[in-house]
Amino acid sequence: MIVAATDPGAREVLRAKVLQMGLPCDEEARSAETLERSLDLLDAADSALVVIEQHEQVTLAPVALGRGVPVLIWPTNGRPRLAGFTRRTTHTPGRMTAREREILGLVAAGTSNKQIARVLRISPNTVKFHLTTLFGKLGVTTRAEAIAAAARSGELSL
Amino acid sequence: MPASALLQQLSEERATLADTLVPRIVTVLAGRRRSLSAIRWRPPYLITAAEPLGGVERVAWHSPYGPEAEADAQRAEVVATDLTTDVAVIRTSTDTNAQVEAPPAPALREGLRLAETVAIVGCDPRGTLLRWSTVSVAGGAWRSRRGGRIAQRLEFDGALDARFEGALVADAAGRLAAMQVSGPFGRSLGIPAETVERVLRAVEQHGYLPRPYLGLRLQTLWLDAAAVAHLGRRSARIPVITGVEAHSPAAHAGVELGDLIETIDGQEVDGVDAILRALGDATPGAELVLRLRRGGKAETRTLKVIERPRTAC
Repeated sequence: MIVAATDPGAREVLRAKVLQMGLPCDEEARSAETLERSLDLLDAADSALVVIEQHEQVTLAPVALGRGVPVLIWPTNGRPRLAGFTRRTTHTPGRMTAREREILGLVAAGTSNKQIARVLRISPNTVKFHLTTLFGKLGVTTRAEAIAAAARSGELSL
Repeated sequence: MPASALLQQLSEERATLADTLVPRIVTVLAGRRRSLSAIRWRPPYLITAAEPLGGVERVAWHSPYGPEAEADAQRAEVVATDLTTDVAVIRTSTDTNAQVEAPPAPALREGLRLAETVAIVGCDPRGTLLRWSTVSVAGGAWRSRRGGRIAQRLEFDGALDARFEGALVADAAGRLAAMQVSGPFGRSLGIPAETVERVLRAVEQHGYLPRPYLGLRLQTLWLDAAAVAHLGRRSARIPVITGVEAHSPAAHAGVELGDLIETIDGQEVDGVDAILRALGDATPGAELVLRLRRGGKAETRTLKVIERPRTAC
């Protein structure tokens, strides 16, 4: 988790809040450039969350959102909210888990939820749960849309 | 003829027509509170909308007759859900004592005309549903965004609720013309009988619906004006290969990472959706000719479509 704020005081407040919640604070960034560097260090595949001070959402949030990293905007006095211009920016298809990818492949092969459950030795409810999460990440509501959306980003082979 | 007599005659004609259609419609229960309509297409098959089924494998179904109908619900197996055309095929077991004998194969109607009057007949657990409607869009053949080839673009007047998903659309002569599904913005769409037949025949042949597969991963690139002119293309969008699965048809044909796909079977493709469409009705065993652009040079590769393996993702 990265804490980003240009003002050192604000940065300290955010850091304290993050630690108070029992979350790790891996990096601190004081500008767009240092944020870029911190994101490079943390590897985009890692589910890094960037905590940003409210007044800086315009300058700092796009840096992280552009890489598909979720952003939490936390005013120094107030409640945090998850940023994202659409659902798709906070959950890019690149953030699909291996399990979700496996399940989507089976959906594309015309397999029913129950058959998927049997193949993967998980419960049908777990299959449904994975699909719901996956639909959210892809910003879709149907199985057919999910296949098309994942194919468009190269996440699903054709 | 006095106006009242005309009206009475029309009303009776409509009721008579509805009577002939009702034996052909059943309700399908997919999950606890979800019911949709289904058409008894020909024994032992029921046809309904694929998307609302949401991947269930077994459903219960019953015809709309009598208060005991629901108690008599029978189990049936969903044998294929074709998301490209939204057609689901359900196989009923023929040995059980059906409450009402399945009607024989229907007379099909192709090519509905604009402004024709149609009866849309559905069924929910409480009984028959019917809406008289008008063909408000009657276009030519089209491809759904999911790659399905649909014989005719059909829309009907007014919006219908979810209970009418999978409902039967009949023309004024009582012939089976389409299946009703909900489209975007609450539109009432028709999947033509011809398209349903195509999917059903594939299922009859194999027992299920094999999905086509090439083993390619793709993304869409945007070319600049100079590149568009140089390649002699109409579209600035072009699919690029971002992955080739091992031992896949694409790998066997020598397709490489970074190849641009210019055409498939001579047709210019303008992105991943175009590939989805091209693949949509290619059945396993068919061959697709891809013209590729690799390092500035044109290459041609023939890919043999296989059935999508379950391990592919």
